[in-house]
Amino acid sequence: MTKSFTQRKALDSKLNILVLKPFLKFERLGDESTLSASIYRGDAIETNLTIAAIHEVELRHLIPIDSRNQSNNTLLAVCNQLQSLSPQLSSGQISNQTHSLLKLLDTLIGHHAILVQYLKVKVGPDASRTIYTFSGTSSHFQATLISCVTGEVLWNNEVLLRDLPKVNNSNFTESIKLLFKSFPNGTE
Amino acid sequence: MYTHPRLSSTWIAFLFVCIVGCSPKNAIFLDPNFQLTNINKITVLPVVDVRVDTSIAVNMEKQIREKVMYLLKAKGYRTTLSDSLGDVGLITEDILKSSKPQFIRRLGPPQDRWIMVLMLIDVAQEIKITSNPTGIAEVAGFLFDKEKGVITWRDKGISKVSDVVGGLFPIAWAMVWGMDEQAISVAMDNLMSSFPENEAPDSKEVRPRFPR
Repeated sequence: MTKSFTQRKALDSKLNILVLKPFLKFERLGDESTLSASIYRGDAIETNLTIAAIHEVELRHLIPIDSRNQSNNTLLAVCNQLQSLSPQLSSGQISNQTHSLLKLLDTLIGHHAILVQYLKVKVGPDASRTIYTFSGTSSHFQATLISCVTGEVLWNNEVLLRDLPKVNNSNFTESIKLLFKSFPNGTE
Repeated sequence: MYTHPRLSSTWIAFLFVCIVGCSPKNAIFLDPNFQLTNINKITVLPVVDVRVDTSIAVNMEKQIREKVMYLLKAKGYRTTLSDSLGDVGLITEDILKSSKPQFIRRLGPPQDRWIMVLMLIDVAQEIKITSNPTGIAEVAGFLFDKEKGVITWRDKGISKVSDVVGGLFPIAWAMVWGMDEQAISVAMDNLMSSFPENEAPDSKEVRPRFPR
């Protein structure tokens, strides 16, 4: 398990953080064929990642908002569009389309930042069926915090787990903790 | 004839690595008109390191660029190196996969048409006393046609190399020399196995006389 690139800034404690639904992608190692997330309990992983993110934001004295609980249809539609752009947002690609969505979000809910989570799982040959222990399977966790006002990336981090994301596994929990370890605190 | 069981398993493992690494496969993407295109020269750009786990030091030039230059020549292509990725800023796998013509035209030297970008996605090794030393690697390759602003070929190469003999000597060997170089080399063979041969009549002049 490895931790990598980090960018850290102190945040205004009045900043509300809209936690988007995590974007999950499961593919076969080598040929990029898509695998169904349901085989790997994608729903449970999604819920765990969202709850963990909300918890981590709260620990930093910032205000988390769960995008899943919003009743405004326009807001939900914007959140869904942004969530579908998670792979690009996680690599810091803020296109004109993303900028306009963030501006729209800013007019809808005010002083906000969005927290994007992207989990890309590459599934290698089943380790248990071979004599080898190292199957090449990996889970790449990425989290990015983006200001709705400026479109600036305020923080991002990534963690690589050389295993499948198993909800009840301690490696999974530890990966999420590592992912948010450098998440900035709210300042007065 | 008596064959020591450990010796035979080594050969099986060796053959497996060769078969997996070198046998032709279908590319993730290949332009259907690839064979009709006359590719006079491929410019190979510096290797992009997109690894999250960078704990293993890799000589990109020697292990990846030199290897791909050799493999391209063996397939009958003229090659040249470029020290610049071009005026493109950040490069990731997702950016290259979804690249637009404006982006592609800024890759590499302005005058060159056929541009190859290679990416090291992952390399890792596991050397334990309790298990056989194993190395894994994942690489990606792209060939762009700057004139048309499109991807012409795209694929991934993966490998898993392992010493199946076991015992202290192979473990000590792996601890000193590592399994990563072998893993990258096999992943490169696997990647380039989907790259079509150059069927142009003058391509024979390019191919090395004494294959390695």
